[in-house]
Amino acid sequence: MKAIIKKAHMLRRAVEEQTSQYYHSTPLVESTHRLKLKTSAHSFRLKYGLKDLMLIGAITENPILLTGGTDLGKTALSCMMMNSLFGKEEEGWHRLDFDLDFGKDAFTNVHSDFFHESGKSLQDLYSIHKWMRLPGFIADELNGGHSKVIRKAIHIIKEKDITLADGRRVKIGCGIEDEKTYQYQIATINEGSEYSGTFEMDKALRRRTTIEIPLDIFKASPLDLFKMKRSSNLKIELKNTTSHFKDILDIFKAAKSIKLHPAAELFLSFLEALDYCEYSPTKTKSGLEKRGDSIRYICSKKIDEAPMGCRYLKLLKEELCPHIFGISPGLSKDMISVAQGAAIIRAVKFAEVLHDIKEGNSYYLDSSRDSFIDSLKMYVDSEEENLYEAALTKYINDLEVEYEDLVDIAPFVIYSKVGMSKVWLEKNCNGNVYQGLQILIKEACDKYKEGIKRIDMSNVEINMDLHNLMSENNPWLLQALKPYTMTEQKTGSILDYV
Amino acid sequence: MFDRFKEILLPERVKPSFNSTLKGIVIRAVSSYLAEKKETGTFYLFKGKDILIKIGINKDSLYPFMFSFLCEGFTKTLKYLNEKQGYVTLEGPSFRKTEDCREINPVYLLIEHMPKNRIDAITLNSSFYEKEDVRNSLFSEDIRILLNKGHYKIHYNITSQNQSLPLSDECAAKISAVYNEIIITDDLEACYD
Repeated sequence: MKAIIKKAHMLRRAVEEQTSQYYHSTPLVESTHRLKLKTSAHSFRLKYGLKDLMLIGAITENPILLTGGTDLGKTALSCMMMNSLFGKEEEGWHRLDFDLDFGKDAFTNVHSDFFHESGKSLQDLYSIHKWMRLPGFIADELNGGHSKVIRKAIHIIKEKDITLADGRRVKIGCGIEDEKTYQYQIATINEGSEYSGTFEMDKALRRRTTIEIPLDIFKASPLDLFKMKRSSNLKIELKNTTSHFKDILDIFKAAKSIKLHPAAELFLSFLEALDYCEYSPTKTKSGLEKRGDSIRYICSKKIDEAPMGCRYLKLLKEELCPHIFGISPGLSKDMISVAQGAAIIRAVKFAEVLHDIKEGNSYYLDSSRDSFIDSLKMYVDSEEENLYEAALTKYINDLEVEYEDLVDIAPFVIYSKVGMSKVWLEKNCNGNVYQGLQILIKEACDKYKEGIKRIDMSNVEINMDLHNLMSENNPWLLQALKPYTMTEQKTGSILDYV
Repeated sequence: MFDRFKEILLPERVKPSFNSTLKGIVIRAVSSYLAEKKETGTFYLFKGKDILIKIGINKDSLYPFMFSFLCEGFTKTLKYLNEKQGYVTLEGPSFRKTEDCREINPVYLLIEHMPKNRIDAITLNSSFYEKEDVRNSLFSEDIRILLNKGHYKIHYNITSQNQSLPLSDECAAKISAVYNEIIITDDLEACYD
């Protein structure tokens, strides 16, 4: 794994270098991570930038959706990213503009010589364009065509599986092994009623873009703008000619093997369990029809002719519960996949933390440098001369997807997929989805930690005490814990005795 | 496996804390001299009786570093000042040399990030206004901004790095006409008494 982290470090450096013309220093994620010791932990701070998040997409093969107004440089950034990762356009990646002309001709070749040559089967008539096999693909202005036509792209984005005009199914992307293919995809859209040439993006298509980055929210800092003005480059130059595809594949395969920390796994179950609804006949929110964009109407019901409000309504801030849905199992899988990439980048950044401390600085710390060095010694459990190398080795060997990784990436994965009520957002966050998500994630984290603090984890059993405790104020954690206490039933059949 | 759930609740071995005896905080921007020289090293963003935050300068990414640290530094100062009433001194010439650097002017950052009742006094170090041709006009403007935001006690520290940078009589008179609490001093320590 250490070799993989080194590759990721080199790749990140190459990306930073090749995309340096795109000035964006506003962090997308600022978080605290912890060096875990035996009975305590020592915090350090990390920041993830725009390019870090896009790199996570590449090393986990998760499609990126860049949204925002015009003139933010979405297409330029996409091209620079692709160029830094896969080298020359048309050799390593391709950019396709989605507009009203989009259709099967956009990705299918029809061989005109088919009719003149003998001995050819119908299969030779159609084939996909060569560029569909490249490892990088930019779907520019993905909402530029009518949504009913563009829906075809649903099979291109993420699924990478399209039907040709003769009915054959073809895998797109660069073949890697066992008929599997790899293709890193970046989609860009201008969104909003003022863009009259665009169409509303199909929900299913949007669902396929795993990481959504709203650039309107993470705008370039004043300093970036200042540097842009000073920059003499009016046209973006794509100078890189080297493809890092092999390294990306190695990292991609390694990322898949990173396991989830148990607390992270339970947290995901907790987020899924936010779908729990006490008053719903199916006990799930997703089983209910929305009325006016939420299921608030279900929160009171008549018991003995008197309306009774749901006891859980006030547990989350601003009566959030009926205005959100839990994450779906599919979204949960996406979160794992993206968080695996985030764990790799975190390890790369931890190496930077160690380098910084070794150099006598303490940029990443809220505590003193000396106290962190003490913690490092406790971490590796020795007074080794090569303390920093030993600490990094241990950190990489123990690398898991942590609870903090999920919290870091959650806003970008669930951005428009968690189904937050617009009415609630309007009332509490002036309609700002990102702010709403921050509230949701903070509430979820607080509730999750509070629940864990309360119960004896050395012996998790859903006994009456625990049930009563949780059902009073944390029904979601109760739901999340249930699978841990269940034993699988053996399936039997009368035929066994015959 | 279940005991690992609680790992997320492990207590902090070292709690981040600021020394309660700290009386003054100097927010020192990295000087333009260093920026021009592109030196790499460690500089102090906050400095008082205790050093709160040090910053590392990476010569390849000098400017973003400086900017993000300034913002971050102010947030931290705010947190500190919420607990302890402190003195704030702005020092450093880096961002106040020309008009076009206004958006990253520490004076703006300070008043944007701190409630006025948490600031006892602001010392505007003369090194902010190092260039003589812009000194008086920029200083007047900063004063105007500060006045608009509230009634701060403002010190103007005349001497910076052994260099005396006085305001013009006209400027001093204009300011004292509208604001009589401005103290022009050459003794930084005196600001804390």
